[in-house]
Amino acid sequence: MTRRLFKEQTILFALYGFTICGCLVLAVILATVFIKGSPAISGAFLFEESRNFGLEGGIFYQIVGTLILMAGAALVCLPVALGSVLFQTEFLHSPQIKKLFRLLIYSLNAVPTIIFGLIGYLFFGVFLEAGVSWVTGVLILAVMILPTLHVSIHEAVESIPKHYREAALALGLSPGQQMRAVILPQSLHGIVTGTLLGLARAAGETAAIMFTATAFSGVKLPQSWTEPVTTLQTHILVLAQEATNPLALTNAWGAGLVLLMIVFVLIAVTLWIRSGLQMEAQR
Amino acid sequence: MTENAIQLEQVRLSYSGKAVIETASCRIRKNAVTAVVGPSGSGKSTLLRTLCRMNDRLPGFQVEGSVIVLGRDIHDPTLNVYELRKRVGMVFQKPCVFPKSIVENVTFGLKFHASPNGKGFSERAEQSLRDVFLWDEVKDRLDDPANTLSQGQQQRLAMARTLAVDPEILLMDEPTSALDPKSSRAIEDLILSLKDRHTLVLVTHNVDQAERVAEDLICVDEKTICHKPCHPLPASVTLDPL
Repeated sequence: MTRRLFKEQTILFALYGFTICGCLVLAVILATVFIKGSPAISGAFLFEESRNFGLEGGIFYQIVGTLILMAGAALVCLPVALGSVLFQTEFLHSPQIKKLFRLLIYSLNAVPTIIFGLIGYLFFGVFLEAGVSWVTGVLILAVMILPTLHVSIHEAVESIPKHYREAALALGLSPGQQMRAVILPQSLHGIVTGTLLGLARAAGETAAIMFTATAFSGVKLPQSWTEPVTTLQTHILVLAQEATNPLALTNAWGAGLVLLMIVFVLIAVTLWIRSGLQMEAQR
Repeated sequence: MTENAIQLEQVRLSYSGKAVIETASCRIRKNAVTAVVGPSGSGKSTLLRTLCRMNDRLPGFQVEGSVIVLGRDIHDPTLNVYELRKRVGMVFQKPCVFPKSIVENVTFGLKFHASPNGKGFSERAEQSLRDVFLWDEVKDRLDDPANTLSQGQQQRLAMARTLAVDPEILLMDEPTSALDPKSSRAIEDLILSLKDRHTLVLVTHNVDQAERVAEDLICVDEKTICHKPCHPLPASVTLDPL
């Protein structure tokens, strides 16, 4: 008995230890970014364009570029993800094909992002002649966040109580009417959560868009479909390469802090909307 | 001779080749209450759900023989199955209300079947709630969430939602099994009040209930069904096969 108790205590202690380690790593990263990045943050830093290759000025167009890519990716990806989920849950009847479909989506999630960049550039940039442009970036990011959105929406649709579907079916509603009346309203929390998490993933992505959609300097707002944008990720990477210059490094940390804040805000909004919509659905 | 609302001829119901009901032949009269009784797992609910093709998406489910509902074979490829389900409504064992207001629950199906301008929705909703004797209890709080109602009220609300789309046949799958005795009696009174305008088919495992409300009885057992008028109900329910 004592031995068993000792064993349990040891396991519990180890679990606490691992949890604290995980939290500590996150805390150290956040604290470092905050401490090193906060001196750079000011109104001018957020709302001015960068000058002298990022050593002076702010990161306004980098923030705008990041937001353009994120919003564009979500706008392109959402209808595709929603459509593929509804096709899988409402129209695909064979369990084997459903399983294959799920496997494909999960496999897509495991593809390294640089491969997305490469194939995306060859297809959208070269084959469809979009070149190094924000459109290429949006399309690559849209494909990349598709599994995140698909899984989140799929889980929400699958968790709709069976009796809701049956009640709608028994009232003579067609599949389209069932989607409007039951499936979409009841899975709204999953749709919103998936979109925001997808956005957060897109915000953190660098490799796939580095050479396909972005340019470091001399770029403001894109004036046409084929122009690149500049993003926070590219800005941080290029400034970090000039690590010997303390000014460049401070600005890189500042841009990192802003990027982190964008992701955090998205996650916070996700959690807030999710809990609100779930409460609404359970009302 | 009384007109039939439903007619089954040599019907076999099976899941992946395994028979749930081996052979079923019966007629269900129009504007009468027919009770389907039998032990648990005998296939009562499967039989009932077959009448409005609710089992269509169950993997491996198969129907053989002819199922005629309101004069049409329901497995005719040209039949509009959504129109069939509108004409043959179904109420389930567990009260199911949507996370919406009381009035939105009543008009839930109606808004997809009625004219798009939505004229007369409130009148139809009121009439349906009156039909299920719920109007006086909820008329002052129609916009309250439906799940604030008691279980018995929720079941009557589910019936009102079904009645709002004006079905000719109402199928009920053990509608009182999740309810207390008082609410069960309210549903039984409701069933009796509806039979002048609707054909009612009630699945129940309660023979006393079947005796109270039904004019005809279908007994499902041993993968077959038998059929007989049930007034007076035989002391031992041993009925002759049709």
